[in-house]
Amino acid sequence: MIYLIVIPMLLAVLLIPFVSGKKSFLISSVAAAISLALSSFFFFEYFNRPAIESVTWFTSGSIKFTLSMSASNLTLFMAILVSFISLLVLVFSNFYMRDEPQRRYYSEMSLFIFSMLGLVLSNSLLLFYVFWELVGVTSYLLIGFWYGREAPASAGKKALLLTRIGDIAFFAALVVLFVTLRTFSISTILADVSAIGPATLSIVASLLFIAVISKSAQFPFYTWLVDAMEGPTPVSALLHSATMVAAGAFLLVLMLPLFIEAGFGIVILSFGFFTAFLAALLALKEVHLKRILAYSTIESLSFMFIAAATANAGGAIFYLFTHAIFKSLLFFIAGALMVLFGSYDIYKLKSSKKNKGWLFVPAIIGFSSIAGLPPFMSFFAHLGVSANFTLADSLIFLLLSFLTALFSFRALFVAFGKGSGPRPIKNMYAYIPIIILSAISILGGVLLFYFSGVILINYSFDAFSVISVIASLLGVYVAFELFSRSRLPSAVSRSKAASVNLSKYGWDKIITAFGGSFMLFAVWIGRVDDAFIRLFSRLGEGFISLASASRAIENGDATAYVAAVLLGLVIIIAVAVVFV
Amino acid sequence: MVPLSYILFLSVVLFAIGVYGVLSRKNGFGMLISAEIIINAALLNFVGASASLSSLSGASYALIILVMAVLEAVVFVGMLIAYSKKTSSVLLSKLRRFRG
Repeated sequence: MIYLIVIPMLLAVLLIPFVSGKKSFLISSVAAAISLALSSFFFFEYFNRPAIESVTWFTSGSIKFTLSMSASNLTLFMAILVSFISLLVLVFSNFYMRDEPQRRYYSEMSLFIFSMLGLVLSNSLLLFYVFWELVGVTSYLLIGFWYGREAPASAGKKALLLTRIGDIAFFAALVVLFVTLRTFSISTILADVSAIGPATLSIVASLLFIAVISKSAQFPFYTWLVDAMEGPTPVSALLHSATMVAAGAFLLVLMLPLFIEAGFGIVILSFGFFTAFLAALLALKEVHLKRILAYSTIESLSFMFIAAATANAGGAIFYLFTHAIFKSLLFFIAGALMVLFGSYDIYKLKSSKKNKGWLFVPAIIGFSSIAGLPPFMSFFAHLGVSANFTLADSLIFLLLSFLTALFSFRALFVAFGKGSGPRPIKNMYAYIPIIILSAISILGGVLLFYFSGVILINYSFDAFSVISVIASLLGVYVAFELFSRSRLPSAVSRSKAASVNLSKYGWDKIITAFGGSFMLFAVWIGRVDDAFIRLFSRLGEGFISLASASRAIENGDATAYVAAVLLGLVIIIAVAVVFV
Repeated sequence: MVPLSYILFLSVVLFAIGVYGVLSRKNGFGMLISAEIIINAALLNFVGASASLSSLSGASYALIILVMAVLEAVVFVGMLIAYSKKTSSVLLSKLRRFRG
């Protein structure tokens, strides 16, 4: 019966081509609402009573290919989350995308929601892989929604090609697992993890890890997510913050016993910390609001990885949930600002000298959630992330908290600078999703105590939580000093002087110098980023010259082709005669 | 009963004629007919082997291949007609404009 959850979205995809543009919004959002209702119903139906439904797809000899879906607390909770966010994003789309081609947009969105729901419910890795690919393809279609312009078209291509590396790795892992265990069922694989030899296990784990980091846009694949911000904003809210990129983290959590068995915990942890650090620094240098949010998404995904690597799958899932809520909220705000002011550049938003109206309130909620400040839900999610930390992890995490608060409040203070003249948004499709998500972001913290019964979450409230909040507040303060009171230019010059003679300066100056030195470091990281991009474009150029060299073979001469076939035949016969 | 070696020799000769035709003809229909000669050379192999081994499986394969060859000819002629409408010629050398 679980498959019923995905059916409405599939029906929506099939129906939309036959209706008028205006109705396509209605059809897809009604389908998403039905999916939401069904997944909530099944969530209570199967609560704490996990079940697996499978059907034999085809048999080949003694090997059965089964497709199965699993109903457990985790999968059904993910289904609720995906359909809920999808519904809100569809509602927001009715405001943001009202002048765009409706049918194409809504059918692509419905196809995406269908694949994402299928992905979270799959218990068969084969089915999971099918949906994983569908998610990748719809992401490509939606990033390149405005394919007439150069930037979105190439951003879509980049996203597809970079995630393709992970897809191939995933497929290879699938083949290796199937050859070893003769099954695709995730539950069976996890039960038999100890039966896999150590060498095979590390191969499978590394392949799956490549798949996971490419889908979740971690180092070194993160660049596609930043470019993907060329797509429509509701698409960014759904695909590139809440669901699609979270598919990687979800796969990591699903296969966590395998990764732990292979001893990959430390690898995931170091990748997570490194990516988080990198993303926070890059976000500090960015001026494009959506790109800042993209870097923040990369960082949040790293937090999920870190939580999973410290054997706290529940913490990762709760952070995934929290992140989906507040990041969609922030993307909605960014979209509303785009409609009002026609720009994503935070400095242009600042200089537009117009009041952002009530949008300031949800923006504070959203950016405080990035920084993990209490009393918002994100604070409780951070409790979950940091529950199993060792001392070294905690120290790095403190630095990350500081940096995260710094870049998020930089965006807030700059984008929402002072101004006058109210221009509120009156469209209810815009403000209803923002209000709902803000409410959940404020009040959702209590859900942590409820969810610790649903999925096993480790969380701890101790001195470390207080210290990390203090680190975040310090970041907020530095951001306020640097960006709200515009002390950045003097801070950068001071940070150079400060390194010569630190003791001469007062507390205030040290704080600004500290922030400024991070800015310098961020610029440096940006250069490394550029170097990477150049390296990869060299690689691409190499392939292009190889391709143009091989053009000569394709000369369009039918007789030459036949002659080549015959030559090949002769060679094969000669080889057969000589060697066989 | 004709010895198997005679049949194989005939088949090789037919095959060579077919290959020569495919390589030398510029005309699409000429190439199709030459390709059919090649297929028939192969069919002759099957039938000859079937007769000399007194087993029916070779002959039945030959029947299947015959049907395939007919279908292939239909597809080829259809494509050639569409092609000649575009280029008003059946010379395959005009395909050169599809070079990479």
